[in-house]
Amino acid sequence: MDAAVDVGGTFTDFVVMKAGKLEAFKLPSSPDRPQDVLLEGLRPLDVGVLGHGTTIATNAVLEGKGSPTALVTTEGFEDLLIIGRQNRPRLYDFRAIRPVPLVPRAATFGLPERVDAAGTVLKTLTENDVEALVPQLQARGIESVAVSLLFSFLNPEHESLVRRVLASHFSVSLSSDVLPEFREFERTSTTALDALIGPIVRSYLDDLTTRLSRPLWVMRSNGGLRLAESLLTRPVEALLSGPAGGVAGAKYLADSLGLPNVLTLDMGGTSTDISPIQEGEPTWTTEATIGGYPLALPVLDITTIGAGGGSEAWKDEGGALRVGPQSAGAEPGPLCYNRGGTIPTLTDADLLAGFLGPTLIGGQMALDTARARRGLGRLFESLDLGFEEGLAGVQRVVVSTMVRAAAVALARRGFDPRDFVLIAYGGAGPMHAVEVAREMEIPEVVVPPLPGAFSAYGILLSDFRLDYGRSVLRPLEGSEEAVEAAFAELKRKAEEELSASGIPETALMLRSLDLRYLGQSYEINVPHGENLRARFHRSHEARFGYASRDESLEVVNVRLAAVVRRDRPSPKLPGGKGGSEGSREVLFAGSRTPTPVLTGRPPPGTKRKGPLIVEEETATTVVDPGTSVSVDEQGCLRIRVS
Amino acid sequence: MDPVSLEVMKNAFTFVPEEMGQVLRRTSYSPNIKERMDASCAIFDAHGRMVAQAEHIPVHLGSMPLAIRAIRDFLREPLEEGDQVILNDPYRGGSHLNDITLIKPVFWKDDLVGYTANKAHHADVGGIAPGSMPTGSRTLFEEGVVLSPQKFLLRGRMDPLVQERVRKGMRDPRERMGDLRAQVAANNTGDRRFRAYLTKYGRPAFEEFADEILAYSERRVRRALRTAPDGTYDAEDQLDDDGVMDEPLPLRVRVKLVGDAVTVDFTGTAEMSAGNVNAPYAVTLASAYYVLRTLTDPTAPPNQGCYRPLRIVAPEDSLLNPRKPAAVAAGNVETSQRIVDVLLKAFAEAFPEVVPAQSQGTMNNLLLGGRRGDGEFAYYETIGGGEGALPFRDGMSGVQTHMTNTLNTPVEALETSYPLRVEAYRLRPGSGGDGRFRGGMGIVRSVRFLGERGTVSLISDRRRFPPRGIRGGSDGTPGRNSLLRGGTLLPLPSKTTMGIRKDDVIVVETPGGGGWGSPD
Repeated sequence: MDAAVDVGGTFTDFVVMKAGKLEAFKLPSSPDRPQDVLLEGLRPLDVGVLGHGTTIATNAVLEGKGSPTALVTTEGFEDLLIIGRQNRPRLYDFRAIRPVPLVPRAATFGLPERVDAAGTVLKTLTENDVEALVPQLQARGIESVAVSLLFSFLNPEHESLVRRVLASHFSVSLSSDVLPEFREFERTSTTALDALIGPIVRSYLDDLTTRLSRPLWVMRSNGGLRLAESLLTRPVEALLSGPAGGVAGAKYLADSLGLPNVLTLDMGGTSTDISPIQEGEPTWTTEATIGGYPLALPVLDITTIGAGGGSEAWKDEGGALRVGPQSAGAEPGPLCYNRGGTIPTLTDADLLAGFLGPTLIGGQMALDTARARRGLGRLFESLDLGFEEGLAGVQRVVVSTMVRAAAVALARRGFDPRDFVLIAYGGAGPMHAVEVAREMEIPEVVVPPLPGAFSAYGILLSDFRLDYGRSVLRPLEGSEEAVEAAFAELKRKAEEELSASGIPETALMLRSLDLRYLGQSYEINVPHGENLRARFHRSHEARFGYASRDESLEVVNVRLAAVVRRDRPSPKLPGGKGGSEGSREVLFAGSRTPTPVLTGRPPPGTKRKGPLIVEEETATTVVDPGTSVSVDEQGCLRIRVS
Repeated sequence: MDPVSLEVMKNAFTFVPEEMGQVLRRTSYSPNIKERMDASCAIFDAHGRMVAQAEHIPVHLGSMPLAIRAIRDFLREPLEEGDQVILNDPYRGGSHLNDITLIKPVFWKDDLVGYTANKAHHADVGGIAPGSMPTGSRTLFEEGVVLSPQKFLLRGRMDPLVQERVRKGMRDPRERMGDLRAQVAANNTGDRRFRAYLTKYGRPAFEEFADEILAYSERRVRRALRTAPDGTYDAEDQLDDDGVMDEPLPLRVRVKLVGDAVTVDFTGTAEMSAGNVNAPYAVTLASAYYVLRTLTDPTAPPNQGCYRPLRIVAPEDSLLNPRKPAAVAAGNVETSQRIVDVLLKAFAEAFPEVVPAQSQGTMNNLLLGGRRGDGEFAYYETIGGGEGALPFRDGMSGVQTHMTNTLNTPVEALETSYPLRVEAYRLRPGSGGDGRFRGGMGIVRSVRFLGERGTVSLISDRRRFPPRGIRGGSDGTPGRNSLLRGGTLLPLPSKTTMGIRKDDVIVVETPGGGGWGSPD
C-alpha cells in the first residue's frame, strides 16, 4: 500500500492506495509538531512507499524562523544581500520596503580571496584565513553557514576549503553545490536559503525517518520525489514542496486523460496557485521568489495570486470595487463563519449567490447567511450597486484578477489559452473555474476526484526524480566535448545517488541544455539531442515572436534529470455512487435560476446540462447554464465550456 | 461604466505593457536592458492619452506621452499597419539620445485605435565618447545620432536608411540592432494583445474604459490633494556644477496648492547651461509627475489622468526647458533628481506625513569604453545610494531612488562580458544622516580597467552639497569620485571624461540619504 501525506496550514491530508483503490482522510494540522499528526494518521496503516509534502521549509522562511546563519563571501562584497539588485520594490510608494536581508550584516564575513571570470585564482585563500572565522562564528551562536564566493561556479576550490575547515563546527552550504551558476546575488540568496532552513529541515526529517523506520520520499519544489536522506544535503529543495504536489497530480491526470496542455487552478482560502503544463511537461522557472527572496533553482513555474475564498471585498479611494489581496483566512474568516470577521469576503458573496450551500464539511458547519447579507449590503450601498449586481461584481473582480495572472503566466511562454484545459482543485477552485475558463476562452474544465486533497494525490503518483546542473558558458559551436564531459560528470553523480537510494529500477536520464543567443541574458531550456538549434529557434519564436537564425548560440548550463517512473495502476476512486439531489436558486448572469444540487459525485457515465451544482465534502463544483458536464471513467467531472 | 467592468478591464489592459516588458527584457542584448531593465512600456489610445503603463522607470514613463504627441506633430507620412516609428530627439519627444523610443500604431478594422510604445536606454548611440554621455558636450550633436520621429519599420519592413544610420553612427551595431529588434518584438506583442482585447470588448467599450480609467485616477489624485492645506510654498536647491563651469546652478520653484489642483512654477531657475545638464521639457514633466504620484496616491492606476490636476511652468531657454541644440545627456539622469528634490522640499509643509529627507540625488552614471579585440565596447551603469529617511522608517541603503529603478549588472555578468574587474561593491558605513529615522547608506564601487587604453565618463552630483536631512535630521555624506593609479588616489570631479590605462581603478562613493527628525 502506497501513501502520501500533504501537511497544510489547517489540515493534514492523507491519500492511500490500497489494492488499486484510493482513500482519503484529513486530520487537523499541528503547527508546532507537524510530524506527530503525520505519524498518528499513518499508525494504523501498513505503508510501502511513503510520499510527503511539507511546508516546514517555506514557513521557516516566511516567518523568519530560520537557524542562526552566517554568510561567508568574497572580501569587498559583504553587503551583497542588502544591496540585492539595487532596485526598490515599488516605484512610487514610499511605504514599500525591501525584505530584511536573509542574513544580518553583522553575521557576514569577507574572505581575502578572488577568482576571475576565467576561473583563475587571482588571490589565494589560505586555511588560516578560514580558521580565523571559527571563534567569531561561535561567539555569535551561529549554527549554519552559507558560503558564496565570486565565480565559484567556475572554480569551487576556495569554497571547498571553507567547507573542510568549518564542517566540523557548523552546518555548511556551498553555493557551488546548491546552485553552480552565474549571477552572484541570486546564487547567494539561494545558498543562504539553504543554510537558513538546513538544520530545521534536517532535524524534522531525521526525527520523522527515525520514528517511521521506513524510507520517506519528500516532494520537492520541482515536482519530483527525492529520498529524505539525499535531501539532507540540499534542504533548499524542500521549499515550495506543497503546491508542487498538485501540479504533479495534474500532470499525471492529464497524461491519463490524453490532454497535452493543461493549466492548474488551485484555489484555497487565502490564495490561488496556477501553473501551466505544456505537451505533458510541467513548466519551470529559475526566477522564483519566496517571501521576496530569490530562489534561483529550477522549480515548477507556479504563480501565486492573492485571491481565495477568504479574500476581502472593499471600496478603494477612487470608488472602485476591489477584492483582496487581504484575506480573512480561516480565522476570523468570512462574515458567514461567525467567528469575529468584520469584512465581507468572496465566500460571503458565493454563499448569497447560491454558489455555496448553507453548510460546509458535509453539514458539520452552518453558515450565517444574515450576517453575510448585512455586511455585503453595506458595502454595495456605498458603491451604489444593487445587491445582486454587487454579488456578481465581487465574483467577476476575483475572476478577472485570476484571469490576468493566468494570462501573464501563459503569455510569458507564448502559450495560447485556447489550446489548454483547466484542471481545478482546492476548496474554491471548482466553484469559479468555469467563469475563469470562459473569460480566457479555455474550452474545458476538469475537476478531479478528491479536489480538496489533490496535492496529496499528486504526491502519491509522483516520479522519483534527481536533478543536477552545471554552468558551462561557452559558444555552442565546438563545445560538444565539454558538454559531453559535463553530462558524464552529472550522470556519475546521479548513479551514485540512485544506488545509495536503493531504487531497483533503472532511471531515465533526461539531458537538456540552457541555450541563448550569444549576448542575451535569458536562457531557454531545450532537451539535448537532434536538431538542437532548430528547436531552440522555434521555442524562442514561440515565446518572443521572432528567431534570429543567423545568430550564434551559447550554452549556459548543462542539466541532467534522473527519473524513475512510478507504477501507476489506474486507481479506483471513492464515491461515484451518486447522492441525493436537491435544488436551490443560484445567481447566474444577473438572474436567480433554479439549480439542481447533487450531494456527492455522480457515477461515471453520468451526463448533465448546466446549471448544476455538485457538493462534495471538501469542494463545491458550479456548472453554469449553457455548459454541460459528464463524469468520465476515472471519475473526473468534465465541463464543456464552449 | 460600472465599478466592476472598470476593474475587470483595468486588469486586462494593464497586462498589455507588462507582457511587453517581459518580451523586451528577455530578448534584448545589452546588459543595460536585459540585466538592468533600463526600459519602459506603455499603451495609448487614439487620442494619444496614456492608458496603462508597467512599473518600470519613472523618467521614461513620464516622458512618453510627449513622444506620441511628437509623432503627431512631426511625422510627415501617414501611419500604416505594420509601421513602427523610432525617435530619440530630446526636442521632439525624446529625453536624452540614449533613450530610443519605438512606437507602433495599433489598427483594428482599418482604424487607428491606439499605440503601443516602449523606450529603452541604449548603452551607446554614437557621439564623441563611448556611452554617448560625454561630460564636456556643448551641443546635442556631440552626444550621438539624433533621430527625429521617422519610420523604422514600413509595413513591417526595416527602413534601410535608418538601419544604416544606426550601424554606421553607433558603437557596437550588433548589440544596437539586437536591442532594437527586441523593442520591435515588444511592440508587436503589445499590438497583438491590444487587438485581441478590442475584439473581445469592442471599440466603444474600450473608449469608454479609457475615459473612465483616466477620470478614476484623476479622482484619486485630486482626493489626496484636497487633504493638503492650500498655500504657496517656495523652495530652492542646486546642482553642484554643469561640468563646464565650476559653480552651482540654482533650481527654484513656487508651488501653489488650491483645492484639488496644483501649479508648479520653476521661474527663477538657472538659465540654460553651456554643458549637458539641461533637462528637456519632457524630463521636467516626468519629474513633476513622479513627485505628484508619490505624494498623493502612489497606487492609483498609472495613466495620464493622474496628471490632470497639475500645471507646470518652466521658462523657455532655462535649465528646465532648453532650446535645441543645447546638450542634454545629463539632464535626464541628474537634473531630474534635483527637480524631485526641490519639489519635495517645497511640498514638505503641505505633506509632512509623506515627504522624506533627501535621497542621494544622483544616478552616479559610470561609462567605460575602449577597444576590445577587433571592436569597441561601451559599458554603462548607474549606481545606487542612500535613500532619505521617511517620517515612518529608516531610508534603505544601496538602492536606486526617485527617477530611476534600474537593476545592477551582476559582477559575474559584467566581468564575463567586458575587460573590467570589480574590486569592491559594498555599502559606505556612516554615510547615512542621523535622525529619529536614519538615512540609508551610499555604495562604494571600485572598477579596475583591464584593457590597454580606454575612456571613462562620470556624470554625478551631490559631491559638493550633501543630501539634506529634514525636521532636525542630519545631512547624508556627499559622494566622492577618485582614480587609483599606481598606488595613488587622485580625486576626480563630479563630472568628467578622461583617458584611462590598464589597471586604473575608478572608485565611486555614492551619497548617503538625509535623516528625518532629531535623534533622541
